[in-house]
Amino acid sequence: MVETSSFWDVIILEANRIIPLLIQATYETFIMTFISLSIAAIIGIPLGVLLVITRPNHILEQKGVYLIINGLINMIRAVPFIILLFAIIPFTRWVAGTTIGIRGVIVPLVIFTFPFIARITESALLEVNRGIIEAFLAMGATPLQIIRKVLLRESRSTMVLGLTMAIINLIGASAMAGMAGSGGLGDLAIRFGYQQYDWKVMLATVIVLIIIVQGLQGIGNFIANKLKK
Amino acid sequence: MIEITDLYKTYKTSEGTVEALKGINLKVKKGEIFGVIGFSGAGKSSLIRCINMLEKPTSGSVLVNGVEMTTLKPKELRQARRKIGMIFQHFNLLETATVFENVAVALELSKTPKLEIEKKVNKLLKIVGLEDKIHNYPSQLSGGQKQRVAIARALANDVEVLLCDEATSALDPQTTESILDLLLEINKNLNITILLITHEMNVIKKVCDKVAVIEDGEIIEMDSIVNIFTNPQQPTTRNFIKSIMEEDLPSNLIDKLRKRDRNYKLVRLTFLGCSAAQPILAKIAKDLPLSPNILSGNIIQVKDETLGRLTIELTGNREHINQAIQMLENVGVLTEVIEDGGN
Repeated sequence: MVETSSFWDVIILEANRIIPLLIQATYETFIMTFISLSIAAIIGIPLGVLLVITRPNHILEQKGVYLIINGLINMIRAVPFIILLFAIIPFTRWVAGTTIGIRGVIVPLVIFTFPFIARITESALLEVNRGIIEAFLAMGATPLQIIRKVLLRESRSTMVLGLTMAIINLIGASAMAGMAGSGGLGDLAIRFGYQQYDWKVMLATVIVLIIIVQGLQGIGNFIANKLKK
Repeated sequence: MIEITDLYKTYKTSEGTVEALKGINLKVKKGEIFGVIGFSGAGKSSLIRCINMLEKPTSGSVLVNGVEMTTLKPKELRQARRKIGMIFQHFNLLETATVFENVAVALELSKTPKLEIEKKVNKLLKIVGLEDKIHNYPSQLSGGQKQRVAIARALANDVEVLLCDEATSALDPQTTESILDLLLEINKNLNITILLITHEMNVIKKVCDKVAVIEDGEIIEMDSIVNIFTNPQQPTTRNFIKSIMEEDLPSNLIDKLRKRDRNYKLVRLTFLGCSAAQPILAKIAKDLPLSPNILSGNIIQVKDETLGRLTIELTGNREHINQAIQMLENVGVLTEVIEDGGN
């Protein structure tokens, strides 16, 4: 009797233990990801725009500005996230007041992501047909109007795909931030799965991550397609 | 309306400097359709782009409606550009915007009130004949329809001048015709001055009042369309005309003429109006012991004029032949002896 029911009993018991953990961790991961993404986008997209319009032969050619931004972005992108995470601890503490928890991890996540978003923006905007920009110059458009009505508009589908990529990278990075006690799915996997050898939590975490990534990519593709036209 | 004086444009490339324009002078009158024709690389594209400062001239002056374009500050330049429409070979429409939005955007740039935008866009789309495509995207339109949208967009801010940069070069002959008809209509009904550049003599022939032939950065010939067609001076100009008017006689026909042991001249006649030549040829046949033999003939419409071209053979006494040519010249037919054969 005991033998036959024990399998399901164990499953239910374990599920009751793991699911609340997963829900809490998933929630934390989403919070981390979306706050970091928003801030990184606010910094990264304008930088990406600047990277495009200040380059030689573009609408606001400024060689100095271009070289500085380009260099800065390369510099940050050269540092692996796991090193960045620890290397900027003093800065993180200065900005966020703490280095652990969601608050503490947002700073390194933003620093990690904004150069990536700037590059995504740059490549998306460079794809915009030069002829259209020229037509708008000929119509007497201001640089700001060209940015808004041509560059960002025409590249919006590529931008959505790029931002989807940024979100997925962020989820990966936020899991790594578990090393710094950030909370979220990575933290859960490390504390339970790795440090306590709880393979069930580890497995469940991985499954949830796979579902999230698949889902986000699907949504990203769908929106990008809608915006294509 | 447009006055270009001593315009030079030099590009610096890694291999040295390239002189794209070497002292261009031209004047386009208000209401005129002015064509610039040249082979690719002749500088015609640089020329048209120097008019609205898409390219900054190296030196020289460009006046558009009395405004010196070369010295304008950025803000003044934007103001001036709003009154100069431009259309392109590849249309350059926003892919993410509908037909309506593509035209409306030109008005948004100049901060036109929303209600007015809607009214105006509808009116413009009516002019270009696209009322039924208003909510379509460019990807759903044909090349000709895309160019129509581009024309509507270019006209949106009540422009005085329209610059056409190879506007029909990406279109098939039939669509080209319909776009040219639209340009003629706009020119006539809205009194918009048009400057177009092209490498197709057909385009020039159909719409232009005046033509400039550009080669190697210089205007080598400039005249009214009729004069260019009836009396071209430069080999390049002749080549362009030849591209739409077959001039060469079949070689076996010429061989046959040469083999005969008789005096003959092959004369090319060019005349305006299709009725000009016929009576005089009859008169020659009656008055002189010659019978003009028509070898080839051709009538084309050049803007509003009809231009005829005949190649005739005059066989007989040398004196009579010369008399016949004189008679033709006397009634205003242009003659050109293309072969003087026999003994």
